[in-house]
Amino acid sequence: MDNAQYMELFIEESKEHLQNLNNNLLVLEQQPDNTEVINEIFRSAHTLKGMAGSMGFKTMADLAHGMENVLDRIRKGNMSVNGDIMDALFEALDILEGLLQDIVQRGMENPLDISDIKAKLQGFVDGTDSKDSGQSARKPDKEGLSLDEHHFHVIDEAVKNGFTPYYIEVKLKESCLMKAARAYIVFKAIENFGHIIHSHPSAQDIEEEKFGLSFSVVAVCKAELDTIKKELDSISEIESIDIREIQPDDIKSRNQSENRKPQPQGTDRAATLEIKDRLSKATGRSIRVDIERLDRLMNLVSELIIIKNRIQDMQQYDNTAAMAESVEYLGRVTSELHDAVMKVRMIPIQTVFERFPRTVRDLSRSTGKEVKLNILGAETEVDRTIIDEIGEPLIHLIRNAIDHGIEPPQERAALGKPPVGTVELKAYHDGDNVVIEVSDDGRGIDIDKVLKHAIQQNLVSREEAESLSQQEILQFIFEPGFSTAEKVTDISGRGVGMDVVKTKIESMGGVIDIDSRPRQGTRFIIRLPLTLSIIQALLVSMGQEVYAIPIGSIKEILKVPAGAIKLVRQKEFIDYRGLLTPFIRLAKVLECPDEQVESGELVTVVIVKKGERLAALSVGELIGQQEIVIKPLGKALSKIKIVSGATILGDGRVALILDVNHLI
Amino acid sequence: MKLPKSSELKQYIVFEIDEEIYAVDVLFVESIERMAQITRVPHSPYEVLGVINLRGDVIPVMSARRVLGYEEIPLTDATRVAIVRHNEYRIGMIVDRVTEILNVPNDKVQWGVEALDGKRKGVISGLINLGDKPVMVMDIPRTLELLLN
Repeated sequence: MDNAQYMELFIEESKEHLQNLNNNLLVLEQQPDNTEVINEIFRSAHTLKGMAGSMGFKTMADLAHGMENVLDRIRKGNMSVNGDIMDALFEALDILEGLLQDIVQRGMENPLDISDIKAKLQGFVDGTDSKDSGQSARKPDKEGLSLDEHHFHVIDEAVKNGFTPYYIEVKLKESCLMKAARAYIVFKAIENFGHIIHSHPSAQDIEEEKFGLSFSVVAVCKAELDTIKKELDSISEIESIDIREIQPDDIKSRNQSENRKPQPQGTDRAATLEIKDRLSKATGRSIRVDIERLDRLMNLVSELIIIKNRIQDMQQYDNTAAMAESVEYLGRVTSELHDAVMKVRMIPIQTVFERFPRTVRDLSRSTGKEVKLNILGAETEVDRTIIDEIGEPLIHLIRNAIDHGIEPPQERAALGKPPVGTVELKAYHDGDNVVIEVSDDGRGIDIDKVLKHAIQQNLVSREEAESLSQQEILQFIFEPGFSTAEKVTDISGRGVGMDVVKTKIESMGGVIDIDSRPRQGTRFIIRLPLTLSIIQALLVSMGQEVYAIPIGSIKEILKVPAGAIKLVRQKEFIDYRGLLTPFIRLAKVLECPDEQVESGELVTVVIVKKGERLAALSVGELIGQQEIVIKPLGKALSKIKIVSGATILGDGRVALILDVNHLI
Repeated sequence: MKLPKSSELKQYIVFEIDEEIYAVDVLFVESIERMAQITRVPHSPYEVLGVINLRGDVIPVMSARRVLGYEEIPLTDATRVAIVRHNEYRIGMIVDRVTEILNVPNDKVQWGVEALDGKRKGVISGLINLGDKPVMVMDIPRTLELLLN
């Protein structure tokens, strides 16, 4: 039977039923006696079984059947819901989701061994609750490597040139959250010694985190086995590393077995490809567009804006009313075009947030802590690239909050806190930024211990430590050296991998801040640019030089008399609406060569903000507001924090964009 | 992957500073450009003069004079920027004048010389003995390291 025509329908409906199951199971856990929900869950499982069966997906049908049996018992009142049952149901649900994912990607089912989970489910039905609670770890892929002719050729060549071929199998720890990032670090480390020829799964799958816990690579290196192993051993969050030299015989025998492989594979693949093709033809009022096409469109808009700025500049040579009108019109259209392209790329952050209730539920069970998750602002729209990237860091922060922030119930009770801890996830727009906050009402970060640890790790000297502010001390938890020490978890109250979180956020052009109070909780504030390439900025001149300040971080522009600048403890301040606001001489910070930048009776001041904090920047002269295209400064200057990038002005000159977040 | 044979020719871009002659492996050089207006970047390393607009891309430029420990002199018509590329780094190197492109057999290069020390140790990694004066070969990866530390 040709099932292809029903495939699309099957996948859509299965997805719905699985999401339904997920939501209802979460409800059932809270209200174990809610018969309506039980019936609903039963129906979903039953329908899934039927659909999968008729499509010929035996494993899926089998597992759904197992779930159905358990649910039937509960429905009939023969059995009541408990934590173990819920865990098993959730586990089964995860496996079903995985199976469906395979079907979506390959058009067929992966022959997965589900006997463990089936036995567990059956155990409840039989009343012989199997006490085998040891989480059955997912088995690493044992498919091994499929090398083709080309790879053997490369290995042969490399051996002739004094390289040694190695087979390296890496297993990550189960607790590892950013598997793709860790794998990337491993790849990088191997590449220091030579070249990677092949990996299983493919590099792209690894990048997209489509692998279990292990992956393997074949690499040719000019180093001893021990040296490579030592290097790899120093990477954290790795369970085991199996590395061995590939012997010439290996290659031969593999070669033969490769040749013996039957051919029909090819046709099979073609068939599944065809199905996939059909699937991607989504219907309805929306269309799927490759993100690269949108990127290209965005780049073209950037180019257009640069040209527009240039024409605006040229207006001085032909300053007629017609010219002015045309330029203004052009400006308006490019702005709107930019806006429209940006909107196309925006998606509600809901798509990321909706998987967290489950994460929190699982963590709360595994840690034995009671945790409630509050989600606010899920409708906030963010750029598509942010949606793709932000999930991992957020999960990490949530996990940390529950693992280390929230106290066990007894401890909370003793402190007079409500026994149920709260983790809050909040998203909102703030000017040209989108802000995401992850906060908990747990024990907070112990500043003294962080500092002590930082000194031990030689991140700071004892003397320097004296003068650090609380904020500066908290920043240490983002240091790579700080977090790789395994023991940190119990000392600092924050786990491994915060450096990865920070790197990830910064790679999106964002910043992350911490606010922590002992016994009251911790809050992480992530601030990301709404648009990644074009912004409105205020151009100011400092003598001969021109700088751009993003409009999003400007609160007001003022002129203040030079006499109004006050000196408090060697630092300059001005009175801004009754607030003592730090006064920053930009010419000094930027080491401007012109001494005459700020003279005269009145000083031009730009009030800028970073979250709640304000500062007054004294600038030379205001040039005006302009739409600018952000260009990176180049890797060699990436350490300079007060400049976030550069832009090209209408006359072809380069102007630097100030990063207010690092000025305040 | 293959090591060059001793007789194999390698190309070098040759430039002069005062009386000395320097060379850079042509494989590191993407192009040679006329000088463009430099925008100073605050807090940049001593060797980096700023950034330039290279056909719509913003790229940092360093001064070969500063890298090699010479005094800065004013730019002239002969001043060129060699756009150097290595890994993810792309950076311009300002030189007084580019004189020629040399084909050098590998066995005419003497590797492992230590012409500079201190902070600049390793920036010169080889000597070409061809004409009357030795030509000093700059090590680009090492030079970039110098900027980052």
